[in-house]
Amino acid sequence: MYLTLLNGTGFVFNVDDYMELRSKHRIMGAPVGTANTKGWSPNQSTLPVELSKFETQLLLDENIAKLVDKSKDLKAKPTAEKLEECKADFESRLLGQEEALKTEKLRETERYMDKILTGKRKKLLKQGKNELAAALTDKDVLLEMSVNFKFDRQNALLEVHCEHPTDHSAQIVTGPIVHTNSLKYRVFKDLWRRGKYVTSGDAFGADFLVYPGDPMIYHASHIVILHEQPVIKPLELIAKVRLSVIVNKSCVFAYEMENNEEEIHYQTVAWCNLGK
Amino acid sequence: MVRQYPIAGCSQTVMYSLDFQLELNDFTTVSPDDLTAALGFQIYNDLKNGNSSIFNSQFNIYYYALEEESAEFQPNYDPNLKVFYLMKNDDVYIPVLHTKAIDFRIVKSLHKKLKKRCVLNVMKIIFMFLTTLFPISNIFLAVVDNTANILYYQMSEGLSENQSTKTAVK
Repeated sequence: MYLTLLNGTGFVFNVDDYMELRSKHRIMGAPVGTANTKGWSPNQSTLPVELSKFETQLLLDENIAKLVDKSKDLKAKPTAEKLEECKADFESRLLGQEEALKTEKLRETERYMDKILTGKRKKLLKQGKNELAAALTDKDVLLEMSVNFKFDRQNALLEVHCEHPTDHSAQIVTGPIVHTNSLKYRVFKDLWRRGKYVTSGDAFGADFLVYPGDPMIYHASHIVILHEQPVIKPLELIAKVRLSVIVNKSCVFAYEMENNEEEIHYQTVAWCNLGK
Repeated sequence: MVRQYPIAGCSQTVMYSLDFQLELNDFTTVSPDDLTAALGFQIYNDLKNGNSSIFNSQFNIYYYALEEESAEFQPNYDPNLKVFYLMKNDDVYIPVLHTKAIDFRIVKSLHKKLKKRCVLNVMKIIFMFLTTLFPISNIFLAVVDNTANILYYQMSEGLSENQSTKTAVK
């Protein structure tokens, strides 16, 4: 599996790769492409999928994927021959939509055939063409639609940015793209190795969100806050725990000991209604 | 501390009751400093008063049981961990002033120590048949702010998934 380096992180352009990452390796990423002519919408996002830097680094460390840089090849000025070939391919893909769109139009016509026939017959009756109205059939309508169909490029569908269709060269990216010794990356990796689904916790004022299963199906069960030292101010603890109560998630503090041991420690803190 | 005094409203046959309430001096003798003793005593009163409020809707005789129950609070100080805590059955309450930092290492070490105690008690049961099994304790932080309000937080090791979060009602 290859990830493409863009903006300092890995992107996935192959739909099968993305499904494998999500279902097999619990890597979520974020679809950042769009097929909407009005612009990008989070509800209609599609390929490519942008992985976080931690996700990208994890896949490299676990030898699940390789990271490649295509900028040298794709940014190079194309030859005249290659440019013509590219234009021809684009034209071919564009015209390929004509037949598909025509087929869809005919299918839609069949779907609403009763209403169309009723309308056309009514119009013919008003014009005094009773015989034509009586003789009108489904085939006549479909034939008319087929003959009169014209493909307008403004109605063409936008192409989803998938894998580059033609052969091209790329360079393998070596070396880390994040500080692999940082506490945040090590916590992310540790949680992932524990079988958790891990996403960014920015929206909840935390470092990570932990899900028991795919975020598309489950709500997050924990918010994780990192601490470089195993000491915390009470007011900070109170604020974080109260936030977790409001969003109905468990609050977990991740820290490491000061004796340079590599083990990550987790402390779950939950508010209790004791006393008066 | 044991004292005897008449209970108002009770019949003549129940003239006296044993008072097992802890006093501030009980904390002072255990705590490393007066501030910690005062915090512990404040938490004790809060928890005790929370329990004793049940008495208002129960029979008089239940009062004795609640008093006996509140008497099970034990102030402790661990010189190795340098931590003062209030213990009751299988629960541990660590008083924390809102201006003093919380050290997760101490909580973790206390967890380990209480687990070891559980193991030791199991050994006692096997060989002596005298000691009751001591369950793994729940550890609570009791954060006291400058308005004498106390917030309790249960501390669990690891990614505990048994926590039931609910909206604060105070």
